[in-house]
Amino acid sequence: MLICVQKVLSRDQVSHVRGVMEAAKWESGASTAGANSEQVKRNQQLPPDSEASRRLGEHVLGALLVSPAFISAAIPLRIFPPLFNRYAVGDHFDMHVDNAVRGDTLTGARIRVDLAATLFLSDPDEYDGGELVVDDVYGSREFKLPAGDIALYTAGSPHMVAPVTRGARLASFLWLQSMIRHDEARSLICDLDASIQGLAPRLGRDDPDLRRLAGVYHNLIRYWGEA
Amino acid sequence: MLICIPEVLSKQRVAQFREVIANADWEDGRSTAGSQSSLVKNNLQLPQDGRAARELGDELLDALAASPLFVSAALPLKIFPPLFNRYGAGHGFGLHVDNAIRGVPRTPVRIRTDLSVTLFLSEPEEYDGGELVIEDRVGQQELKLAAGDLVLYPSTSLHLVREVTRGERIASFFWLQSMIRDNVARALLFDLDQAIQSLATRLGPADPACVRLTAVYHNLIRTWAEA
Repeated sequence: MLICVQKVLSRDQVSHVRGVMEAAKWESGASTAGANSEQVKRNQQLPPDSEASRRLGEHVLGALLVSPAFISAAIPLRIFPPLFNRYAVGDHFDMHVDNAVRGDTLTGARIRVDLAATLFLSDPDEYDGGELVVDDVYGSREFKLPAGDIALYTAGSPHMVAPVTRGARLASFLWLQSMIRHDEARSLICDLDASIQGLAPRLGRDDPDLRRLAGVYHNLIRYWGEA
Repeated sequence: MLICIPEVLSKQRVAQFREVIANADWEDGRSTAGSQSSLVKNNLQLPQDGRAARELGDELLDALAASPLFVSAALPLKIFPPLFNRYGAGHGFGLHVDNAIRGVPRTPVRIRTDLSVTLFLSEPEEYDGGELVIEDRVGQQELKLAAGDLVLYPSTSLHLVREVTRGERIASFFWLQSMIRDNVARALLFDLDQAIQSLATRLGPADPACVRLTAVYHNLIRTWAEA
């Protein structure tokens, strides 16, 4: 699964987040990397337990949870507190797969990492390199999205951030456990929802065929969902 | 899911079936009953490998394959060669459940009986009693359909045929293994297909929404089907 959602954060929200990030203290990104990823990761992060990181994380979560496109694609059950990073010139994160399970040090909550998301906080013209590259079912895809947009992808897909060669790349990233564990099932439900949303303005919400399709949608979630 | 499908056989075909049946030899219906059912079964059947049963059975299978509603509701993988029975006055079939697995005589083919079918060949006014009664957790459904109509229902239910008190009730009955084992999943696919068929009529089958929904339908079958 690979989906981009535009304008999860408005320009004003992006400016606010960047302002807080710029005033905050940073640490090496190795602090949240697994044994394998540590070898291949070079960037800076806001310390996950810092007040700045937590506060901005709440801000990002608030925006995500009111984004119908994000909810429809991710069908989130539990979202790990968002983290914030910066790739300066020479920084990179080589090809890796995210850990399957993550625990949060503050809350003790554990999630199975079904999906990963990168929220871009720098515009593409602010830096060279720094593409998010994801190996998906139909091949490798590169992302360098406008600030405020998010890329959502299967955490089990190998992915990397290409070395930054000019400027700096600011981003937030997060992991989540979906109510629908399997990618194929989740993609199917997302396609069904997109069809229903597309038909609703044409036929009206009260249309009997749409009501039937909405029934199928909810019954599929009932069939596969973990709650 | 219990579904009635009208006019699987036309009145003319019903008359042809009835004529062949009237001239055939009959045997005790216990020949195909399991040990529990044989205690409560009291009717006559066309011998399973007699010419009449085989010829009519093949014709019936052709009629079923030509019924979009039957195919959509049953998604059949393997259909047992249809059997034919006759309940005269005093005949009935007490409460029972169908065997889970049925071998097709003299072949290595075995069928898991997911769905049971009764196709009525007598009109309701030709006999008294003889209702097919299907139990579910909250009560029971009583069925006495027009000649040429069939009822399709999960074989997991307990069911009976009420004693006939006047006239004669002629019917065909058989079992099938569905590509979709699970009743919930099969019902969901049926709903989705029916909504798509209706939308295709209204919007045209090439409408992008119909194409997308059709992809969801096939991908769900791919996810669940045994083939």
